[in-house]
Amino acid sequence: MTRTRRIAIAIVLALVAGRGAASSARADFLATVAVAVAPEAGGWFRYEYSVEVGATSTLPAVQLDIAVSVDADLQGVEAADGWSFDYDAAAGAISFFADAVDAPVAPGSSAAFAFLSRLAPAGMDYFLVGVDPPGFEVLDGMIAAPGVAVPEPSSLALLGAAACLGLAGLAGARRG
Amino acid sequence: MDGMRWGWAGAVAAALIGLASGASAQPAIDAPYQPALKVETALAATSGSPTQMCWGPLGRLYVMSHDAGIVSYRYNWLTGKLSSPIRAVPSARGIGLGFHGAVLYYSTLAGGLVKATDDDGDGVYGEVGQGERSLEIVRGIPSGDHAVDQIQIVGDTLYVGIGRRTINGRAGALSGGTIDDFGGSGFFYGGQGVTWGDSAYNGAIAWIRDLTQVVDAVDSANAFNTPASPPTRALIQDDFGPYSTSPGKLTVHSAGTRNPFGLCLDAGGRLFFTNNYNRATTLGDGTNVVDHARDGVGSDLRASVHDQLFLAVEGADYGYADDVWRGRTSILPAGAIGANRVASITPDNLSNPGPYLLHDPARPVGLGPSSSANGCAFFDSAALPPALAGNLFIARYNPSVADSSGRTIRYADVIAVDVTTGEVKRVATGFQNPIAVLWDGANRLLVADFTTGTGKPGAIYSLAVAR
Repeated sequence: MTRTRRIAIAIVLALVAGRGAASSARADFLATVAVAVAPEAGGWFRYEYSVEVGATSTLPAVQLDIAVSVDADLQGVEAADGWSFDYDAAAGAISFFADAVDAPVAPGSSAAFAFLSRLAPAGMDYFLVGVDPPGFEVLDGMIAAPGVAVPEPSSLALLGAAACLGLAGLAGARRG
Repeated sequence: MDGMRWGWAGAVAAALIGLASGASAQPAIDAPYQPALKVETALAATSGSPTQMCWGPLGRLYVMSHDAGIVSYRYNWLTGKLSSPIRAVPSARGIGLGFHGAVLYYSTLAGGLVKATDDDGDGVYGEVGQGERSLEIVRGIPSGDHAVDQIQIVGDTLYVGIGRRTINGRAGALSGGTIDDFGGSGFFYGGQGVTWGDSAYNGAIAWIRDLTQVVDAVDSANAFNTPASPPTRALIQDDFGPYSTSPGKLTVHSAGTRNPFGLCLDAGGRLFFTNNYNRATTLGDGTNVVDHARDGVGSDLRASVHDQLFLAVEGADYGYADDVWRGRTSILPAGAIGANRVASITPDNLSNPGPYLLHDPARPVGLGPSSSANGCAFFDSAALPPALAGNLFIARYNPSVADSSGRTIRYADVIAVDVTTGEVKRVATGFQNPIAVLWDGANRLLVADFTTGTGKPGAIYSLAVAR
């Protein structure tokens, strides 16, 4: 892969406020989700997501749900230690979730998740869940995820288009 | 469900009667909100008949079923799908549940409050044989026609609604629908239902102000000063213990309710609750009513007192009858006319001198008489239509209530209440017996249906913001 093709499309969504559920009156879930998308050999795109929970957050992150195209055909899914995933191709959704009591992403720490798809990035919905009962809060917005079929040949021009889509996703991020 | 109005067994019977009467509609959004909301088909069938839902450790959805224990599910915030059920407490038989950190608290139909742990992290709580705790930290809360209801926990404080053991807050004849303290039977079973009345816990919003101060021992949070089981006249009429203020015990936060079934919190941590009123005709003076004999519907539903919605206030008196305790404790002054009186947010007919209109569930004013207004939740999705923004959503459940003049009202719906004005709007209908609601923190309000047909378990639907 050339250096040029290694250029990743990075979209960082800073989430300063989410949607506090009723039982989270004193919860304050401070977390960010970032994605780096890099083209790889064979027409694949590698999507790397990082979840970072702020040091002053009162809640850890326990689940990250990301919408993808129903044609995304995700491969090589990687989850953080202690996390599992559930890929529902027909519904166009992948869910990463903490599967052990010590697995939630604690305040001041981060976790990484990844998968491959042949689809280029588009702005897609995501939900990031913070829970430490009774504290409960959900952050949502849009982030780059597999959503666009890539006509041959793939090119830097497509990457540029994908970047634009990602930035559109940033602009559309919703806050509670 | 005319829920806790008839006691749990009576409620189940009522539900089954209603289902047998042919309620078969599918849940649907009311017309004014159809562009913005949709009903999603059942996300999951529940193991039993659900009574409360809450979010627990790892973001799993926990569902209490009064007859099948507590089950947890993984929830997908994108699709709304529920999966990977775990029988968290198969033996639990209660109504309410909540979490404080990793510790589970739930109420029992036997009048208890249980604290349970999952030390091995397998999602199953209270495996005593494996060293986990399952402690009934309160037991023997007198129950009868109503039970210990839903729970909410905010910070370190646990709130629980406690229904009256009597049907109407009275003592003596015809005060017990399912109980009789003198060896007879309740009036639902053909007896006279003679009782000692209600204990200090009954008809209260109770709280454990600081869960960190609860001692890990059986009955450690019980504030009674006398043995609670079996109930005695002394316990019911003379034990002031629940009015004490120990932060590590279950004490009275506020009182003067009948059956405070649904508890819910707003984003600021304020507690609201629904109250199932008995079948009674208003006198229009704000407090006094004429109880209908044997809790009958009576001849005119139009003048009946409605179910109620309250903002819980520490030390408040919500005004319900209490033959035993009124005038004996500052929180329940005689006549229910003290400075601490808190009125229902929604119109309840108590202060209405007439004329009276028949409640129309589709165009509700107030929660309706005999509506069994139950579980409640704020649904704070930013995508809700403006008319529903900031509203409290309540499930109503009573298959059919008919007066002797032929007026009939059916409730099986979800309504929204503007808690600043008391305005009520019906949002969705066509459920079987909706009893509990829970916001998912994003775009869905989960609705638990108590049953999906005669002899069938319940189901969980959602009202989803159309996007």
